[in-house]
Amino acid sequence: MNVKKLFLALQAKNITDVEYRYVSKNSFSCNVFRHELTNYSVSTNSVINVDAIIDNKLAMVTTENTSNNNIDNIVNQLIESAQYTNKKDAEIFKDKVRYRHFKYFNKDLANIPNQQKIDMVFAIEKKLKEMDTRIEDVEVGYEEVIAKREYQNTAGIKLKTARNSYSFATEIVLNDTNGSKQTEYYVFEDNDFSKFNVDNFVKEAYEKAIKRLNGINIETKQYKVIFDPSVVDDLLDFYVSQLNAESILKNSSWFKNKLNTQVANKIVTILETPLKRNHEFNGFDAQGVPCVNRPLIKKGVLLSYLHNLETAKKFNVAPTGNAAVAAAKIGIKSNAIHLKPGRLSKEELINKVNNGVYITSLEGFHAGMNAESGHFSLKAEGFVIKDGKLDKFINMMTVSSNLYDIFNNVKAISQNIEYIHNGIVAPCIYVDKISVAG
Amino acid sequence: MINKSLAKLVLNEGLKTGADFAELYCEDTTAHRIVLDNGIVEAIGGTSSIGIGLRLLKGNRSVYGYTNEIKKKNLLELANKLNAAFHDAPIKNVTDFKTIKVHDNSPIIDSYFTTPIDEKLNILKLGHETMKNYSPLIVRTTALMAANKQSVEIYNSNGLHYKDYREYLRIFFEPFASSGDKHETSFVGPAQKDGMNFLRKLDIKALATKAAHDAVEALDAKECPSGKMPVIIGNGFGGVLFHEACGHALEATAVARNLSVFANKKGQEIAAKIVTAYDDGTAPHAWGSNNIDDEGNPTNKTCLIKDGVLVNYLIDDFNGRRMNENGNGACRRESYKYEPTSRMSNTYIANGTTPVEEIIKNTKLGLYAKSLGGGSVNPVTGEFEFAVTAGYIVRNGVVMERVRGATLIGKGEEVLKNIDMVGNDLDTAPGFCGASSGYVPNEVGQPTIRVKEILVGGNGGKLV
Repeated sequence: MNVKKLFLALQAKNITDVEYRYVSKNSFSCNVFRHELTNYSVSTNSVINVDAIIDNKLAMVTTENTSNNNIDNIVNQLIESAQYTNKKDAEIFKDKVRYRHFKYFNKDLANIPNQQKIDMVFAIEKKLKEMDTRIEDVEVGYEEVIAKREYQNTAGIKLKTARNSYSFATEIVLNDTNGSKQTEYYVFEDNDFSKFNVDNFVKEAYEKAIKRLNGINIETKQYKVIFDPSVVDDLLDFYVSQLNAESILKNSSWFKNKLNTQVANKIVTILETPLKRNHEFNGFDAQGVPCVNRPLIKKGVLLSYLHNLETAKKFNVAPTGNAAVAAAKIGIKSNAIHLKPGRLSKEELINKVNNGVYITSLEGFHAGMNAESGHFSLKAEGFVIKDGKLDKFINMMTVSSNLYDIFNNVKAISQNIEYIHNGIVAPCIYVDKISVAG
Repeated sequence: MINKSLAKLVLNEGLKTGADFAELYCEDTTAHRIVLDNGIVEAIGGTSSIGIGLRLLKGNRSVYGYTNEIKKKNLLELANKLNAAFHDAPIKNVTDFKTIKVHDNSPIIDSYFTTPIDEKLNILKLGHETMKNYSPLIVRTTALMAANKQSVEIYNSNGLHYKDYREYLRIFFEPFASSGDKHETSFVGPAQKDGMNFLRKLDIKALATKAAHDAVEALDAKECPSGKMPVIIGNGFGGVLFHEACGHALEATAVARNLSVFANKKGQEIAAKIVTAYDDGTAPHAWGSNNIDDEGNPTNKTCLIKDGVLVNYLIDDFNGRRMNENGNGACRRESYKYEPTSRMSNTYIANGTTPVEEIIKNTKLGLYAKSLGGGSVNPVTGEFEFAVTAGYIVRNGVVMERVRGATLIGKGEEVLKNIDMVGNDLDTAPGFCGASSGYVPNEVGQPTIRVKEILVGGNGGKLV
């Protein structure tokens, strides 16, 4: 779509404050199962999102029809939406500021022939299958994505960014000794193909999977628990989502009226680090506001909420670069969350706990987590901690606690950072007295 | 969206390297939503999505691609990229299409999309006012209406052409209750494919009152005890347990590749004798119904389990190849961005004969999971988990204190065999189901049932 034409069409209707966003995604993926290429997929998709301030109110349209023929339709839809919206005080970002730039983009990735990637997927499947007769099935997949993002507004701000990445993933089905089956997933993601090694991937995936065999059941009671970084990642995601300033304004966040108070244990420091030069780099938000590295919670004290332009104005603070497009409005989301590591290694932490449970995954967050109250009860996977070491896999259990209690009662944080997902960086955390049912 | 001659050109380009089947799925969808937050119209607007998916099959191999650049050049380029996956001589060529007449199971008399916005706003405002006035403890309300209209056209290399129109409408009320540091939310969200007729038949005040009542009552709930115990599961959305714990494992997606606990068990007793279950994609105006599936096959009412015995799977044509069976109208996808596969539609356990009061009266000590939230399952192992959104402890045959934070976990095959009572109060409820072909609308359903023993997770110690 010709953005200049779009802005002119809106200007002709006396609509002068307009934002335009464009997102495109190209992908290639394939899957191998039982020595057959069972799936091979390519895609091209783009979507535009336009919002305009009309009578001090924000109206928004999202469409995959990106042709110039759609401009009149977009203008009409924006005018109609604005008629019925009550929400006022909308504005667009007009400040002239400096932006940090970093492209997580590897041009070489697209030059590697697809056949080479498919051959590697076949090789992984074959090698994994040969590792152990208890492996019944292996499915291996490859996915490669190029994503581009643009932002423009009528105040003259023009921004664009692009990133690409690839991932290899496998699901391994194992026959357990008791006749039941176990499944395990393993994923490797990067954008530098030279970092991927088939043998290392096979070894890591196999070692992760095989630990699940010969699992035991445990007694229902309270345990000392260590949450693996992958689990802390999920918990942090919900915890930080409650710092949304819109929820604070609407009385639906646990963090309301807690700014500059102790909300977590003194060993807890949570930062936003969107300007770290890695795959989660984010230089600007959905309103063209620059993102910044900053602490949200420092030594347990809550320092800041997450803002878009509208909430920042209401709180009389500078915008924080957390605007995100939600359903037909500008919402708020966190950027690259980082829980500051502690001093103990993972092994030292396990040794310190001595006897307890090491949780490697929690499932069912979409239904089992009440982020507002913090209560959760979730299906869990993990290992027994026995005499300071990881022991048997635990077959089936639930973990029940409260999100806010966990970050209040955390006893130690490890120094290792093993898991980076959805922009969240987390070490292990150790919490006393967690209800586990088995 | 595209004419027959372009469809023919693209399919034949796809078939050039030896694919034995090619299919174009063309979609034009408009979504619209209105959001009232604390009574203020906070968002009102639409999203339009238009694009085409191309699938090529050769034996058990599938190749899929999609684009929203709907020009001849782009579509032929897509077909070219996809046919590069095969390397044989062509075995099929499309010469013409026969348009198949599609019977409309759920005709829309009064579309959401042609109804003035004021009428819809008034319904949402009534919901907001009712929740807000229920109690001073309700500190925030959300009232939301979401509608979708989807026009679909399918062309395939068997020379068949289908056209279908689907319109979905859902309303949500979500109150937020707060008392000191205690915060709880609740939710009601009925949905149908019946345009505005559906909304006009709803008792908005009763729905909003129920939502507000649940949120306020939950503030004083005690932590749920944990451990293995008898569990009574309420009707309606309680059926999500069957959907997750059993339904997914009956989809050909898992069965065809022997990645289901129920693979190769047709004719075997997999559930208690009192359990009979169906998947019915034909129920008029039901949230999960369709006229045809996403391969063009007419939808069906399929009996899955009859008196405890597994009688049918849910099959799409592609996975049916591995199973040597034809598809039975169960192939679905969220949009053109997803390759289709077998999915549930409206899935439920059939009515039993036991009155609900009798089920409760016969339970000495256990959990009454009156309503469930969502859940998930691993079809390979059958392991599932569900959140209980409204739970009560039953003591000596009487429903007693409300509890919060309960989760049910277990294995589908064990739970099915442990159902020992089936009530006579069958009800259904809408939801969305997420799987490999995206999020699709589903109804789940059941009468009240009792399971002899399930592992319950909670933070309230042992049940005594």
